[in-house]
Amino acid sequence: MTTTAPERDAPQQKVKPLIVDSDVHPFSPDEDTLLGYVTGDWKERLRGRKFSIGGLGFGGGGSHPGDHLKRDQVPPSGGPPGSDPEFMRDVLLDTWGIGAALLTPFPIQLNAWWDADEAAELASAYNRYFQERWLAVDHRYKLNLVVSPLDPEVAAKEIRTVAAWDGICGVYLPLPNVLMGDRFYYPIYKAAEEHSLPIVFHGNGTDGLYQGAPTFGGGRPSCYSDFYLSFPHMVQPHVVNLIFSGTFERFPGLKIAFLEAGWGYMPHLLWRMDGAWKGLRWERPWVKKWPSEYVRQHMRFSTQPAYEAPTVEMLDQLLLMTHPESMIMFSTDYPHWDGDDPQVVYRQFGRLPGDLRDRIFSGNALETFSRL
Amino acid sequence: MSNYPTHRLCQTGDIPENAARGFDLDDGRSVAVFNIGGEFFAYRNICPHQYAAICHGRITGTMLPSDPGTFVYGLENSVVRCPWHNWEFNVRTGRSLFTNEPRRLAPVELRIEDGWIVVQVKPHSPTGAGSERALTS
Repeated sequence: MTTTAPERDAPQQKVKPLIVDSDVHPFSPDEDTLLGYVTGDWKERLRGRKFSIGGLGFGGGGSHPGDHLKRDQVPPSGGPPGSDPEFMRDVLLDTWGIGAALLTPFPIQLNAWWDADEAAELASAYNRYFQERWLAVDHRYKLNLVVSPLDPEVAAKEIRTVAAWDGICGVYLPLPNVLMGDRFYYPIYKAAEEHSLPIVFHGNGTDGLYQGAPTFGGGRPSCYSDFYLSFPHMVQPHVVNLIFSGTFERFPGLKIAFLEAGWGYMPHLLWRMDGAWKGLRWERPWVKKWPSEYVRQHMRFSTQPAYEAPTVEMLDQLLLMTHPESMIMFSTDYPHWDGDDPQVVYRQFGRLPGDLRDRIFSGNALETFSRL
Repeated sequence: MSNYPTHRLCQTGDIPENAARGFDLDDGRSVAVFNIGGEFFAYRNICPHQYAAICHGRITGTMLPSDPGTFVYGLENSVVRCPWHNWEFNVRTGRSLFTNEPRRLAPVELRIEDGWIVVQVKPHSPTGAGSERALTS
């Protein structure tokens, strides 16, 4: 298996120098490494436990049929792709001229943990690990700190603690089976808003797999293909629920980034919400603007997975319907198997006016993750 | 008043207070007349959305914009809610409520003559312009 950076045809000349990659996944290499960041006697309590690090191991039935991480990205140091910050710096940041890589630690399945205190301790350990092992390596690494959703008050405390660190850009919130507009999350949103940290939505492999897991529209997936292709179905109820619950009226500074689920499903949802609001406004009178306005102001969607549209004209049309000047952020999803090559994505959007390309490749993320 | 054809529809007492009634004219058009607390308002009898007969809409109040989790009811008997998709209009102005939705109820000139409700409606164009559907396009 190769352990060197892949050769490229001078990508730096073809890609804008300032690129923000809004969805990058670092892994801690193994349980023992992470245990080094667990405090006190929790270390003994957690020793020997499996955290599913480096693979979609939860439940055994939801795994990718092959390699869910790019096989050519195994670092020289060993461990899974994405587990070596120096190697990732070389092959991702330097190769592509990426100015900021937003790290969403993955897979952290703290939504699927039994014990809320254990999950909280693990979240803290992850944050300490990524701060010390990743943020210290390169200033271009920025971290979405992770919290456990099992106790929102404890999660809020973790946010307030970790937000003080340099290099923190957002909050990765693994979800239970509770829509994001629910008051359950208010303590987390309050803390995130206080510190100008967007909330990051990201599936994590537990979805649809256990009692209390986030659900897919219609029922349980039967295979990885079902699971993978149904991700956008998970996003849409959250979008609707966030708006009609009045969450953004309660937390006007809150931003939500939906990562790794694409964006092409949004035009019809925007139109449908605006259409329905004309007749149903009086059921939720705290929705004071067009639903699409809330989306444009508060929600962002990452580009990956790049669409294989039949024609570039179709892709352009779809993109222009999705308010790319504010809603769309470039992402590679490195090192996932289906991650996108920046050069390919740049070519896809190469027909757009330059200022719009800049919004997608950096401006929208810089504005949303305002601590970058 | 315009020079549009005049139609004598009914006596004021024929429409109960805070209710509406639709009237089909000879040229195939329809007019909705609302009695709101003794004041009368007339519109073309079509919702500008999908052309439902607005005279069948519920005359009601509505929830005013409010803080999350709170309800403030107001505008009692000043709102007509379309029977189809529930679009709400201010009965007195015909305009949408609380949105910048440009589509509105099309007003019709109305006056009271000797206890009769009289309206003047732009005549039907042979080309179809001014028809119920063209009005909404």
